[in-house]
Amino acid sequence: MRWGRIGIIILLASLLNAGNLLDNTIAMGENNIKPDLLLILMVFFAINCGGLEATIVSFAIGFAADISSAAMGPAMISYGLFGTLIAQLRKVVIMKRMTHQALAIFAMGIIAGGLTQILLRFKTGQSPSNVYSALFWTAIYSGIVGPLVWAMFSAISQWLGVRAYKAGRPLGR
Amino acid sequence: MARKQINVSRGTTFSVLLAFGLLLLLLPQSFTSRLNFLFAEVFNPVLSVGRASPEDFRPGSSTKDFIPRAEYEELWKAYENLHADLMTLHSDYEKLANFRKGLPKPGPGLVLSRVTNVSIGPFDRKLFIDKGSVDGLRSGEYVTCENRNSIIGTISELSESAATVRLLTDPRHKMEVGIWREGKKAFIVKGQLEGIGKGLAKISLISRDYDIRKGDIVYASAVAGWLETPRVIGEVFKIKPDDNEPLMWDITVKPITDFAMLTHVAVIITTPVKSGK
Repeated sequence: MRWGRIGIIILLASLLNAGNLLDNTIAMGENNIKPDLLLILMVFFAINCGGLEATIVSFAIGFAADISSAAMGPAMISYGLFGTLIAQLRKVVIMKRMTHQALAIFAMGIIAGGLTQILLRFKTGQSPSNVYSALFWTAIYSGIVGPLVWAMFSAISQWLGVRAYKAGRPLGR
Repeated sequence: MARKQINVSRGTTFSVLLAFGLLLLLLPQSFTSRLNFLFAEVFNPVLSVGRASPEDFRPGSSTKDFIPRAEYEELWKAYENLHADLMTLHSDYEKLANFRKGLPKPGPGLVLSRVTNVSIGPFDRKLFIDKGSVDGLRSGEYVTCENRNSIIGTISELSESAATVRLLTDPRHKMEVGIWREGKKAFIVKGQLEGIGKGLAKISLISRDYDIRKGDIVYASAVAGWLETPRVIGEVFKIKPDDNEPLMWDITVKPITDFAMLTHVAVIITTPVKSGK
């Protein structure tokens, strides 16, 4: 794993998530729903990295999600837990089809996103009034865009030092 | 030079990282929010890329975007007259400000702040401003747009040199408001405004016995020590019986300010309460 390069990718994704660029380009609806790039990244690395590496990257992505949003802690715990869980499941399930990838990202959007919101409420004492619809549509949009982003990261997986799986076999080294 | 290999088990790594996450979660928000502000300040130039600005808006090509010459001239005259009135009021204000300086209790002041970034997402709607606790700002203070026409939100998070303004439409934002109609001497009813995202907010739990109509004006209620007089925030955009509580109104409010276009805001700073101890 090329940790420096992975760090740059995580930073870029968090800047895109928190910045205005996506708001004025691909965000949809009056709620400004946009795909959660860090969530897609978490699922991608959890599926394609080894156990220890997947755990570290998942927590790091969660930390990036926290620092670029409202409060520290919720996403780090949530992404860390579910990233590690996905890394365990990858021994059983290999996400070679786009539909599998989309479904995994959608499911994680609901579950990890839900846990993040619960922990955020615990920390700040406040919960958005539109939390269910925002979670659902963000997960849907992430699931749709996810496989495209996944393919992009698969293409640069060697540069990242990650063995991306394709058709049941690892790419690269 | 040979690298030293550190062997750490997966379980230990997971436990350490989870403990670190829990520590961050349990630390007070006022303490950990410094990290959020640091990120926002360091990467502000990148985060602002693609932000809409008033300069981005050009006259549209549709014919409905244009008005007849005669009407334009009428509006222009009215505008100029208003401008003259404004100049007179400004002069009066400056004189009054000199008087106010000598008074023992100056009342609420204003802190003019620059909007450094805008965050309009599904879970939060907020502005980042360049003034913080060292400028006298406190959490919960009301924020108006530059010309003091309307309330746009309240201060939610603070660092020493920056703050975030939670907008009226933020799904976490709540505020006491009153509904007024032209010709009425008092508010028709008071209630609680709650942001719902989508650029809108809602007032719920208002009995259908009250005569509320589309277009009625919504004001932020005066709150002793925080807001001396009610200030306009928007108007009733849609009204229908509540689906869950048929005897109540479901009132949707549209703010009059376009938050994305703001470049400066003013924070109404509260009078510090002196402890008698």
